[in-house]
Amino acid sequence: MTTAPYARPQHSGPLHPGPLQDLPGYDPGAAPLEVGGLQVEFPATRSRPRADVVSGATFRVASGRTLAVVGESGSGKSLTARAVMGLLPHGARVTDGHARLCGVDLLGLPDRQARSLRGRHIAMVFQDALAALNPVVPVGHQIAEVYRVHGCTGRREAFDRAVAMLARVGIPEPAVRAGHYPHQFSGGMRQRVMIAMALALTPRVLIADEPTTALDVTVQAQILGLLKSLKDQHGLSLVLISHDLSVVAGTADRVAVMYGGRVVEEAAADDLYARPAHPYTRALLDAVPRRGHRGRPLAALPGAPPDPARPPGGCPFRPRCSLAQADCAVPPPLETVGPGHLSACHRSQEVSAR
Amino acid sequence: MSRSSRAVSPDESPVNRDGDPLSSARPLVLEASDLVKRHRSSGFLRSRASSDTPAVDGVSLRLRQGETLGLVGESGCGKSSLARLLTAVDRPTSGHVEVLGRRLDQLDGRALRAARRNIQLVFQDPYTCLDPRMTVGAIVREPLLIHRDPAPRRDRRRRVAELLELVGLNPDHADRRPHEFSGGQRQRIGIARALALRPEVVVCDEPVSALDVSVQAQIVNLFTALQRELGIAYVFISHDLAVVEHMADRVAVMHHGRIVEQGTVDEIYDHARHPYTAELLSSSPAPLP
Repeated sequence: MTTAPYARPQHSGPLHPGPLQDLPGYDPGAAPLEVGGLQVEFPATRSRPRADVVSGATFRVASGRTLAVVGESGSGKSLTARAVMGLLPHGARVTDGHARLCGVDLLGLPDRQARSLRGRHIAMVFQDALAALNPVVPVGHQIAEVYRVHGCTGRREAFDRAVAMLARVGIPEPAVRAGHYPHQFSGGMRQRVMIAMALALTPRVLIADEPTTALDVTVQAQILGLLKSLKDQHGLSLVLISHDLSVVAGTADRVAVMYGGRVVEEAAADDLYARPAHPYTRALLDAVPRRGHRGRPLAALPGAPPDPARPPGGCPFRPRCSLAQADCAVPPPLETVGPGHLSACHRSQEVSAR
Repeated sequence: MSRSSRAVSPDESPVNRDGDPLSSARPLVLEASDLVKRHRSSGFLRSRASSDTPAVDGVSLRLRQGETLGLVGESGCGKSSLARLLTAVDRPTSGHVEVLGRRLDQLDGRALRAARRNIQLVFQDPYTCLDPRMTVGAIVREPLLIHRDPAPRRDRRRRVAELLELVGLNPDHADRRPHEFSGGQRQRIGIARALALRPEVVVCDEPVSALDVSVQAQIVNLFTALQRELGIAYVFISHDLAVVEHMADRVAVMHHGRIVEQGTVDEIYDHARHPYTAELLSSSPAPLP
């Protein structure tokens, strides 16, 4: 993964955000964010074959709800988020699919229009806040810049609103702290600054990419609590990307599990933990150490996640799956297997019956 | 404020319970008493404060043969500094470390090198702890070149193959280089190297934190199997309370360079007495249903 961009955006003058409803496809009844059949590839270079890093990601977030996207490294979860935000690393490109924000396809918009939506209606928080913030600009000014770029306010008022934002994410003495540089904040406080910046213009959708992975458990609990309360206050839709099923267990309404660049299972959180319908989800849940299992070996998955440059063909989980049979050479579609429960497995009934 | 409630404030002496699940008949392999490490800051940007707060501040712990001591705490609490003191990578400012009855902190040169054989370190990041230019065979063989007696020259090749097999790698891959292996496999290489000299104690500093969940379980199982087979004692450092609970016989909770509470797994997880332990437990994600 490349470093998060903290470079000043290449803009000519402030972006005046046209209201979302003027854009083609706008539908007030549509889901705040709906991603369908998204495909992202790194084209072949001299030293590297073509790699399909996301091959058909599909999910939707309901208004005011939290969707967790869970997967291991290389599952394509971060690239899916970056494709939606138009922040793919150099070389990667979207080859198919759509990402609709209230019905407006973000991937089909001209750059300038997409940029005016970004930050205004959909925003993102990165894992590494230190890399995502500009190290030589006080954080208050970085947040104020959001208001300035989107042409909302004058200089003085932008700064005041930035201070108010810092207060809202629970930073003590916000007026003083606004003048401090990113390195003067602890990891948790830095993540709060990132959240303040992302929510400055009260977007409809917030994508949080591993927002607590670099943080200690006590701070992690605080940040997750903050995201939850801000979501409730603003009616945000939250996409929470994580590698850890236990971290999202208390936060998410729905969970989408990604493996090998696609969503292999999606369900309401309680349903997914109680009755997983994909062997990968089942294996992930079994591999987590829990109380009363001391001394017994963990149910470890054999092997390693697939290499996107050399996909196994058929179901991506086939080589590691204990239920794999000949028909798994045909990739199983993501199908409804229960009320609000989707799974991409030919033997989903067998898995959930266990 | 009553006296009893003051007894659990973080500034007071640590909550130390006599929980020793293993029979005390097992020999002590590692003993540290009153370890203190102050990092001296120097140069132009030296700050006063940093020289005043020790990274490790009076830590005492004991480890018996074949036992696992889990060491938990947040980043910056001194876990890794302690690991470096225990393995004699760093010298303590005061206090002493004894491995198999020999004081590591007083030894020098050849004697220190010989004594270090019995205590080895497994690192967190399997991507940076292996020399990318060396073959896997050379990485695992290196300790045998430094310590000549455990394996005579003609046995070395066989011993390397044995070690690779022990950690679940294909011995035929000994001539490959680290970049050809996945994170989990690299961690296995690091473990094979740590085991080359048949140590009594292995200090594992966040050995599974950088791994994916499905691979993490493989490595946790490997650690458990190796302990059963070889009778190694582990100091298992982690911020993941669930993993520590699965692995450890006893748990020590570290906070601001001190061990604030120590006891058996059940004592710590079910009856935490120190407020910091309670905070740590309540913030860690709830166990899955």
